[in-house]
Amino acid sequence: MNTQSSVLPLAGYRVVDFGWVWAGTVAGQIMADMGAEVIKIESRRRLDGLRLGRVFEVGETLELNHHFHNFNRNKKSLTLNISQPRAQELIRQLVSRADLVLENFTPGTLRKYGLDYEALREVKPDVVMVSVTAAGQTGPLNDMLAYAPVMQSIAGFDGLVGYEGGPVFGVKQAYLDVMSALFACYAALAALHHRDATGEGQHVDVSGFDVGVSLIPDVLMDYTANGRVAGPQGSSHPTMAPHGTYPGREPDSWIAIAVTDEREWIQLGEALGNPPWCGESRFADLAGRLAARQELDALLATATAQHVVGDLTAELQRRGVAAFPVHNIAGVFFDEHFNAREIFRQVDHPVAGPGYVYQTPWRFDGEPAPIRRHAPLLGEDNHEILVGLLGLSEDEVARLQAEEVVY
Amino acid sequence: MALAPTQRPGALATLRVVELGDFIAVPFAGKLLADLGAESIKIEPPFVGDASRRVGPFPGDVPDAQTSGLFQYLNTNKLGVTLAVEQPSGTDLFRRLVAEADVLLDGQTPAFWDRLAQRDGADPRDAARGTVVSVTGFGQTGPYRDYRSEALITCAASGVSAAIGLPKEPPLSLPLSQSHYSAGLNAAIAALLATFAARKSQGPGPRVDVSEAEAMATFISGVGIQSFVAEERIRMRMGHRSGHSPHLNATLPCKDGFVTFDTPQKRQWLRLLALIGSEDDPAEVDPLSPDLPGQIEAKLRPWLMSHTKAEIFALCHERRIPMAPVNTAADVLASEHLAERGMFVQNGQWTMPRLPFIFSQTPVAIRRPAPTLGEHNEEIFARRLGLTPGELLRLRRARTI
Repeated sequence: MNTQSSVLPLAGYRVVDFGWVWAGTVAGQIMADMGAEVIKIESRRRLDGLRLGRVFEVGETLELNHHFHNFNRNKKSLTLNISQPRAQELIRQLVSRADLVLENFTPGTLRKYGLDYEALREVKPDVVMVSVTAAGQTGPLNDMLAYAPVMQSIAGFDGLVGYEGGPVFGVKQAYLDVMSALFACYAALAALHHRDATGEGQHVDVSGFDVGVSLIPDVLMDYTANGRVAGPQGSSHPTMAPHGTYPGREPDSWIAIAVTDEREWIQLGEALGNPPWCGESRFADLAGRLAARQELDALLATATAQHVVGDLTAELQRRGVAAFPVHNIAGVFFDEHFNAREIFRQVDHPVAGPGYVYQTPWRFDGEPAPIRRHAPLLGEDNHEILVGLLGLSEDEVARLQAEEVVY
Repeated sequence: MALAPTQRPGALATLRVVELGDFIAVPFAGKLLADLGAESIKIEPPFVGDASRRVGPFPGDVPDAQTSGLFQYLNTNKLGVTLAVEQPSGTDLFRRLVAEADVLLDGQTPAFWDRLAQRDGADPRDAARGTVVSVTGFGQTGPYRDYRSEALITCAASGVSAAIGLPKEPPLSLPLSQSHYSAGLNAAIAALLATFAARKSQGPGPRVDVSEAEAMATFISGVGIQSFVAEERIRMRMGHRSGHSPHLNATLPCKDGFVTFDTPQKRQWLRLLALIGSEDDPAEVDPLSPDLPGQIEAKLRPWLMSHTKAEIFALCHERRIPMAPVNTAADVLASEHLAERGMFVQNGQWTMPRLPFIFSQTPVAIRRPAPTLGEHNEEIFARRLGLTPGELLRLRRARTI
């Protein structure tokens, strides 16, 4: 992509970002990375939990939390105390000059402040608003207080995660937060596309619960069609065997291997030095390997345990077999391919110094989206927006600060 | 008269998409575009079709290329043609199709295009005047560019698998090919962004490179990158518990299944202990205990075993204690909340989830079911591209279409 900020895909679009913590915030992050002017509305009255490190760990000041830095790079910060009528008025003025509003408050919160979709349409008839919440704007559970690990359970997701025949573990990592943020971003782009084509804005309701359900269609459809209720799956797969993770020679090293056909099965055997069980007729075809899956996994584990997983991966890939080490974050950070692709970038922050953030993971004409700016300091862009954009005088701003409107 | 949802144009009604990709990643990206109203032409290999046609689930477990649930879900709203893109006559038709499209979704390996570029002197994708979004396991460049991958592999590579399962046992994946869904969603976002970019310049739209492994290595694992660099923090596998959580964040058994709690705020787990305790036997823990989660769990477990998922959820929901039942497919389909939100739609013989957005003005809708194999060959190749019946017959016999 042309990395000059004036020619990035979303250059010229202005976003009012009420997002806090993860899901709403990352939708804004993507749009900021892609060139939109994303104005994060925050306030000392109720700080984004990530500034304080409440959700992840305790940070020491408002400017040191690296999760905050990651999710809010390329954005601007405007401190407005949303509970104050004058602040609400200023936000409405801002929205009248914006294209999109992103928010992930509990349903009903913005209505309390006169900043819900109906109210904002009065100042900007074609405004696009995307609301992303745990369980959506409507329905008996719309007030549900929950984080991703909980929504992953209610959506039917977690029940599939555990060893076969064992207890449910659940995913635990916040996969649904990421997917909700991405769906919200997608919805925003689609709604903006429609608005650009027709002049019509709209409100989009994105629910984490809905997101989880939409990502496990086959399990749900196997139930509606055949009455089957799936439980913990282990690493097994209905049409591939072997398919799973197997130990390597070094402590806590594992290799993921997936074999789809007979050619790959033979190649796997050769790469392992043709242990005698590889040639057994019961393993010769997929049906046989699926039937004797557990025994196969145990035998394969004894073979892989003699190899360094990186070396075995290279050998298997050379032979056209899908294999890869199970990386933890250290593995990802030091991996030669991910380094060549520069998926993490150092960004200099005025208070915290240099810190790593992840790169938005797609390249346009070979170029990733540039990280143009550090995550904003609290209220860093107050002057530019209040005076420069909204036309307030310096005196007015000072007064509003004293009144804790700009706060 | 208000139009019924299936008659109102979608948000992407002005977009034209061609899709060449198998199984889940590219087709899910294509579904995201098609369900929002884009005109989408899905190219499948002649006779064999998309792999998801063979995977099921099938009604009554009877395999049939048209009734696979996964295929039906992923390919709603698309027109379907068959085309052997690698055959020279097929490549010609492919070039003509993509010349008219705003978006080409491409799930082929880099090696596939290398071979055709070598044969023809140019990459066939160059014929696309709109944007080309290519989705592969590891991306178009780098040492692993040509690596074979499956969802298991990219999940392992991304760092996500290392934190699922038990400490000394094999790491597990996200369920059911999640890597592919994640890649598809990333690709759909990138496709729309590329259409915004294309409006800003003359010439062909951007060529976009989406890597399935990187999509998760960044958005999911990459959240912890600075923690790792600065403090050597690595998220551990801890079975039913969340790896590094100092509070209760765990999945625990109850009378009729499992429930999950995540209570990052002290007042939340205090309310929980108050719920399960009584005057005679208050449930108390030492808040300074180095294993606070374990302590809370120990108090919880007996109480949970004497209550059902529904009872626990009702009690906790009204006390704003963040938790949920570990729902099975049956529970999900029985959810009043989801029913009220119209989460499940009827599509022919299938009941299937809708996409997770509710647009106030341009509702997502199933305007046509997933195509039969080659259903729109006539419409696209003859009526749109002008092939004669003789040409079509010749191409069919040659197994080009």
